[in-house]
Amino acid sequence: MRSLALTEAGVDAVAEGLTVSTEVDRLTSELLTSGEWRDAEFSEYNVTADAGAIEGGRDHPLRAMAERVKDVLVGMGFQEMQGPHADAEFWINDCLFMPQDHPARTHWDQFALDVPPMQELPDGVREDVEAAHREGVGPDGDGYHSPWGEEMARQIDLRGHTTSLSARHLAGVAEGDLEPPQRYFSIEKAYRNDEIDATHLLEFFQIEGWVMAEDLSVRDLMGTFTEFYEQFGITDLRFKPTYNPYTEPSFELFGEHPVTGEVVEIGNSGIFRPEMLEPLGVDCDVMAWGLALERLMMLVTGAEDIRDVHGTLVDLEYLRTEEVRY
Amino acid sequence: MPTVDIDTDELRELTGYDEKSDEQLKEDLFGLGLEFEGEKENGDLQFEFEPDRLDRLSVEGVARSLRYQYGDDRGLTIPATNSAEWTIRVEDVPEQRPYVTGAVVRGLDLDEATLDSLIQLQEKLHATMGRKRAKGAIGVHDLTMLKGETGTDDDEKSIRYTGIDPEGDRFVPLEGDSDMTPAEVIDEHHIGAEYGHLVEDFERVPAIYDSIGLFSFPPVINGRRTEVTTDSRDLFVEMTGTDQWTIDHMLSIVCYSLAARGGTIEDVRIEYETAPEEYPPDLVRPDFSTHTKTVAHDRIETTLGIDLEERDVLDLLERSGLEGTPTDDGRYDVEIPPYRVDVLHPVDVIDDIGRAYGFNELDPRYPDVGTIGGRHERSRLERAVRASLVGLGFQDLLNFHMTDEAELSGRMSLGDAEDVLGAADPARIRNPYSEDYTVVRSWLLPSIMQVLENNTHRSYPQDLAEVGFVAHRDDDENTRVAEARHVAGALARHEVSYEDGKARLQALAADFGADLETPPTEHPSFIPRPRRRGGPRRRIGRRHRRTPPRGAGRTRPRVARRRVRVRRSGTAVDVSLPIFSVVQSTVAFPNHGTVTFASRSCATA
Repeated sequence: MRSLALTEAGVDAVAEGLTVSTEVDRLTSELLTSGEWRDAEFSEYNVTADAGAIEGGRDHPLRAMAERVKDVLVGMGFQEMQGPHADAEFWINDCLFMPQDHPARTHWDQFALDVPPMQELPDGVREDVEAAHREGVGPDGDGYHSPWGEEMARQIDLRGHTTSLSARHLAGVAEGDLEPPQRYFSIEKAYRNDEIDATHLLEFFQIEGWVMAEDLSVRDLMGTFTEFYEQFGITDLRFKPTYNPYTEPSFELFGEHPVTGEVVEIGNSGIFRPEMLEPLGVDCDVMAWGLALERLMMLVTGAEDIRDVHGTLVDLEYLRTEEVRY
Repeated sequence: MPTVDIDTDELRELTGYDEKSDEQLKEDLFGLGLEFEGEKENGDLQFEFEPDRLDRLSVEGVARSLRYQYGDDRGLTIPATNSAEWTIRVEDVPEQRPYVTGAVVRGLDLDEATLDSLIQLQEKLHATMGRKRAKGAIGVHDLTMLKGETGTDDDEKSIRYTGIDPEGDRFVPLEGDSDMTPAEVIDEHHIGAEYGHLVEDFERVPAIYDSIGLFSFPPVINGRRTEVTTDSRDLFVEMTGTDQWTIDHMLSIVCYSLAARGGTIEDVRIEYETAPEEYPPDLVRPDFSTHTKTVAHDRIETTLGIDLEERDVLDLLERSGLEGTPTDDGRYDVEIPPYRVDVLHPVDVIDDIGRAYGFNELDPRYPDVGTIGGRHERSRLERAVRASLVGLGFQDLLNFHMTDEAELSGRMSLGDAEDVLGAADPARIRNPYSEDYTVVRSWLLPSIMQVLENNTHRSYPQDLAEVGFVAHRDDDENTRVAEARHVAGALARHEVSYEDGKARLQALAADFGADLETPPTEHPSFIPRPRRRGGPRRRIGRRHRRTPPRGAGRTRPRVARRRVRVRRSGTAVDVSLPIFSVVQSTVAFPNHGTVTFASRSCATA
């Protein structure tokens, strides 16, 4: 039972007499098949008013960014790599000509796993990597004056960079021996023991890419990155010569943040050193680069804190309302 | 990245450019790869620099690099040395730290700034090449305070590097006012607390003597007797360590700096009982000999992507502080000075040439190399699954792979349960940085639960799903870790039933042509099935138990219902969550064979 009270105006209206009519507010199959719709009186829609809210499913914005980068790289002729997240330091560090007493190879910088050491290192490659560390490569190459032991090389870590995947591919253990020319990429997680802040997380997506060909130059490297970053509207790319243990020459890449105007480092690149390539059995040039997907995302979307973008602290409101990018 | 503090007045004096402003200097230093970090309290400017150029750890080395950049210095510079008066005799030395080197530097005029710079260089070399003094440690002494032990020849003076019982002798250490044994220094002195661990296991600890007695306890601390002050004019520099090459090169870097301050370098003889491998028993140090790298002209051109004349290359080498001599076969023999510890291969010389030429002068060009691009099958599958989930109304999540065990099992009520989803032994991090990140996640639901927990203030329904990485310890794997991709989802609504979850899982399985079986199961995270006798539920259970066992191309999901009380900021929200998580789901592709989600690779049958 419902009851309602009439206002005075309502009482007047009833006193003047009411006409009963039926208004239709939605179409039914009956209305259509019977043809009644022709004579039906339709209620008026307020077409300018907001309708009720509806939540659909959406891709995670960072995932969407990764998809976009994959599209660009595939368009540039890059094949996608994959490989283990937990890997021996051999593939993560030793193949990259990082001396075993390098300060970055302590637990302060990387996540060692509490598991037994890797069962097997690849025969031949293992010996050649050790020789590169001890004696260098080439007729007048020098090695490091640092100890090298297989025990450390077998230790399993969460990879500190996805360059371990590049090392596995270049060595031919991932997809067999590769003949030049080749282009490969991956957008996968890397893990670093860092202070968590607005621009650093313990795990992040690294965009890793490399080109293998005869006679690559620094200009080819710069040209590749210029093209890549232009796809994301970054045209003021700057190259700063830098040092990496496994590339020479090496460059840091800088771009301008669209909101803060700050010049931020968005990548690191170079031509792989012979001490890395020769033990892996590669006898042509390979240029490579790595950058954090989150950094690129910040540059493209203007996001200022990556903790908002990635991880379990994410705000559903952000996932639901962030503008879709394509 | 290491940093170096620079007094710009010093830099102006050492480069000879009095008129350069701080701003101009900052820009010039950026060109060398030194990035301005900030101003120190004492007015020094702090710069970050590349850790390969350890010759730039102090203002003298930075000034030298700038003078090459400005073109004021060219080619090789080798400081002159006077012949040796002093000897370091190595006797009965601790086998864990057998090597020593040294030099005498005379005629210095040390003011506060110069002394600060020397101390900085010493500290920075310790931190980098010296591997926190483990590989090499520097001791600088006031030469006039040393009284040499005399040998047969009266002109000959020597000090002795040896090993002693940690309680075998006493000396007054720096920043101390009474004499102590090395053992007491390790236990009681604040420097001992910092570096004592390097030698505390030694039966005999390193010690240096002159004819007066013990004056240094490397690599921990020097004695106060030989402390260097602004009154010191002549210095004795000694270094001990575990590698002769490393300490010799640390010494070269220090000597170059002191020579830049007007010091005259004097050789020191080292007399070993047992010489380091590949070295003669008697050494004369510092070793300012150069080494040579042979670089091909065409390799320089291909790496830089430009054409160069021979005279251009020679000029660029000189501007890098190197010296090139052309050979008959289109190469250069390039001499490298002793302070350049970073040049290991001819590519390092090419990098120097590129820097001297100016990498920013090079025009980018897109490489003329044709390759075919494509995505990995696993990544295509993940994308397709994600698209299906989004189509079913799920918000796609992207969570961390690292978490802690409480989230993984405790908060999921796993207890001691075995053989259930999520109970696999996780891969643990050996030295966790934070107690929130101690393991790699072995299943996805805990991540989704955390997102639900953190978003109770947001509107419902919250339909969440993730396609993501999981791993667990497996000693049979070469990496000792089994890695996989799982799919999981949750529906959080004010009212929801098992069928809501099942319907979505069914749709997902159907999208990929997979057969779906959902036999009843128990899982400690989920509300147990009712145990009433008779009644419809039990019949459903029985029916499920009669379903055929799993086979190839089948999916084995666990589906159950759980009531979760999520608390946040003092408010409690009750939500029913049918949760599904596909385990070892084998999805059959009609035209592409079989793809397994749960294995690390996408095996195509």
